[in-house]
Amino acid sequence: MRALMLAAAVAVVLASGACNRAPDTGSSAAGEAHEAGDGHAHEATGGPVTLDLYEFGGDFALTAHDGAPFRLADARGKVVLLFFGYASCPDVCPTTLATVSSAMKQLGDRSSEVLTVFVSVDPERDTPEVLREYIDHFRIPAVAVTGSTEDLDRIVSQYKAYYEKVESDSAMGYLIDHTAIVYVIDREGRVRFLHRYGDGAGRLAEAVQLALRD
Amino acid sequence: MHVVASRLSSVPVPAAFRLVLSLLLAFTGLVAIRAETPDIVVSEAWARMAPNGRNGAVFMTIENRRPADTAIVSAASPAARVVELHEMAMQGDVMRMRKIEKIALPARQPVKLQPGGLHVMLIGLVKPLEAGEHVALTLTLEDGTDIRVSATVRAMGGH
Repeated sequence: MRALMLAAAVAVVLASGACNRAPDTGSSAAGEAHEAGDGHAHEATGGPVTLDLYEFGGDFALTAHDGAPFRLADARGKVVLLFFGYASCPDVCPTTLATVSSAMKQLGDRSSEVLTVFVSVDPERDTPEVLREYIDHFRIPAVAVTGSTEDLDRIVSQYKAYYEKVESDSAMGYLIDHTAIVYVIDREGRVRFLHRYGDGAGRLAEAVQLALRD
Repeated sequence: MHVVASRLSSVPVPAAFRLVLSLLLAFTGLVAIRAETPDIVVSEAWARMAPNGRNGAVFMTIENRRPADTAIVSAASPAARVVELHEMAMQGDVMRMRKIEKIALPARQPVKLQPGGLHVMLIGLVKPLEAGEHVALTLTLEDGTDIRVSATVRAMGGH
C-alpha cells in the first residue's frame, strides 16, 4: 500500500514537472531541441490537463479598450485567460481568440466566471478605439488592454513572455513576433496553466474548469 | 492550356451551365471554388472572420497538376487595400510572421495554406469579414496566369 502511494506520488511529481515548463522564447537551446525533435515548428501538448502553480505572473495595470484603467486584480474571483498579441495580427491572434470563444461555448453558463484579457503589445497602432472594435468582434467577455512600452515590457517579462517589433517591407509596416500562449489564471490571480498554440479548445475548457473548481 | 486558363474570366459560359456547375459544386461540398484553371485546382478556400479596417487571412489547398513547378507571385482582392503573401512559423512558443515573395507550387503536389503556416494576407479590409460571406481573390502565377478564388468566411479557427 505504501509502495503504491509512493508510486502515485512520484507519478504526480513527474507529471507536474513535465507540464511546468515556462514559455519558450525560441532562442534557448531547449527551444531548438523542441523544434528539432519532431520536425514541426510546434507541437500540441499531450497528456491529461493538470493545473500547476507557476512562480511568474502577477498583477499589472494598463488601459482598457473603453479608456478606463484596468488592473488584473480587478478580475479577482474570476478565472482570467491572458494573451499577448496585436490587432493587426491576422492568424495567431484570431485563431487563439476563436479557440477561447469555442472553449467558452463548451463551458456554457460557467463562462460568465471567466474573463479574457487581450494585452496588445502594439500601443502605437492599437488605440482604445481600434481595440474596442477588435475585441467586440469576437463576442466573448473580454477586455483588450495596452499601455506604454515600459509598462508592456515589464508585464511581458513578468509573464516570461516575449515580443519584438520587426521591420518589414509589408504594407502593414512593422510586424510583431510574440508569445502565443494563453495563460490560465485562477481566481486568486495565480498562473495555473499554459495553453500552447495548437492545443485546442477542449484542453482550454478543461483547464478553466479545473481552475474554477480550485 | 495556360492561355485558356488565363483567359478564363473572358470565356463566355452559358448561364444555365454555370447554374448546373455551381449546383454540382455545392453538392460536392466544394462551394468555395468559383473558378479554377484546369491544371491549378484550388479547394477549401476560406477566410477568417475579421473586424473592419484590420487584416484578414485566406487559407486554401492549391494543387498544381502541371508537370512543371510554378509559384504564386502576387494576389489581389477587392476586399482589402493591399494583398500580400505571408508565412507564419512558431519558434518555441513565439509566433513569427513574415512577408514572402512567392508561394512555391511544386509539380503534381498539393500545397496547403493553413493557420500557423502560409496564408494570403488581406491588409486594410474595406469592410468587416462576417461568417458566411465570400471574399473574391485573384492569385497570379509566375507565368502570368490568374486564378480566381472565392473564399467562404468562417467564424472559427479551423475546419
